[in-house]
Amino acid sequence: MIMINYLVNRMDFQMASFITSGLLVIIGLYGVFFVDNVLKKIIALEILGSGVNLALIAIGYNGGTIPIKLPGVSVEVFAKESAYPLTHALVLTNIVIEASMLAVMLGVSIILYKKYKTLRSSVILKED
Amino acid sequence: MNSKRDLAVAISFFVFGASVLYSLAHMQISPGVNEVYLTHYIIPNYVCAVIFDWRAYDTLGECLVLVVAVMVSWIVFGKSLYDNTYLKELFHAPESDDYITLQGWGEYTPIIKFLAFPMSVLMVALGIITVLGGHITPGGGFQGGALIAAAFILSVIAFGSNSPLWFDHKFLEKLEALGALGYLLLGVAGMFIGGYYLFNFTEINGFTIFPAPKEIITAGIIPYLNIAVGLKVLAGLSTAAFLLSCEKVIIEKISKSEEKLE
Repeated sequence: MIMINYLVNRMDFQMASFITSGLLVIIGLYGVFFVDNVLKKIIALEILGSGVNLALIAIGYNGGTIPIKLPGVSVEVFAKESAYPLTHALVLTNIVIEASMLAVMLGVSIILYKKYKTLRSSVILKED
Repeated sequence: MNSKRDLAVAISFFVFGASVLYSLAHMQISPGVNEVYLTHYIIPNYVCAVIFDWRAYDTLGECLVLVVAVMVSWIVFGKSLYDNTYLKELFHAPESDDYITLQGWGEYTPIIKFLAFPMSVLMVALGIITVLGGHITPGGGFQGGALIAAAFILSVIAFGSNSPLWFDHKFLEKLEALGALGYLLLGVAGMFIGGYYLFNFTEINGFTIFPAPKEIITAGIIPYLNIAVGLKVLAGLSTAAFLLSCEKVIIEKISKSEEKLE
């Protein structure tokens, strides 16, 4: 109850984003650990990556405007009001790397299905 | 054995999950280097400035990550597409350039066939605008390249290899190499002019690199890096989607060849 009160009092846009990203990471990790299907594991990894991206964007949020300077706005005023551009750049990099990783994982899962005729990771790893 | 390991995994999962939520709930944020990024004006799109000027090595790394991913897709799927002699020698298959056929695929409704090509044209136009305006407005090479790749994929799904918007896979390879090399060579040019790799120079011998209104004349090589990245992303994503979709056709060809051998 004390913890819930603490979170509710601190809750704002940024805190809600942090909690959501934490839950996305946990859901993705659950899928990777406990789900048997290879394609579902890949989907879980994408959910985990989305949680990480959301956390990075939330870190860059400071209540101001997006990091695009409009004509007529001075650099000094813009620097005080803008969100942090570094985290946006990191997220863009992460999205591209996730897309590359996804393509390779899908290719390998197609090969696994051709070889083993199943997508159950327990069967592929010869556990049962 | 399984139950003990599952118990250990469950315990570590709950510990990790609790620690993730706790650390995110107690996040302390300091602007750090962002103050430097925000107080030094380069181009209106400050994220683009971070990606292509402050942290251009990072973008070089992610370009090469995408190149490597497409290479891996080629290794997994592309050999029989790229080198028909492999199929010919192994299965005596007839050489054919028709990699995607609608045989076995569902015939689409006239709605899809009527709308797919105009939609693709609009998506290509929007992608080009996004790439060229990346240093001023939200967007850039990655976003624009992904848009054009999506247009290509839409046309190929709707029309197969008879698509009016069609890039041969060898052309896509050259386009991807051109984009990646363009990025690398712009960095080398910066080394000659400014002494540093990927140095953002704005003029050579009095000629402005990127003629522009006064407020964005400091863009320098950033628009050209955007174009290089756009070419690389559109070619890379198109090739990867192309290879994944061709797998079915490859297997069908091999199966038909095996039937002929029997």
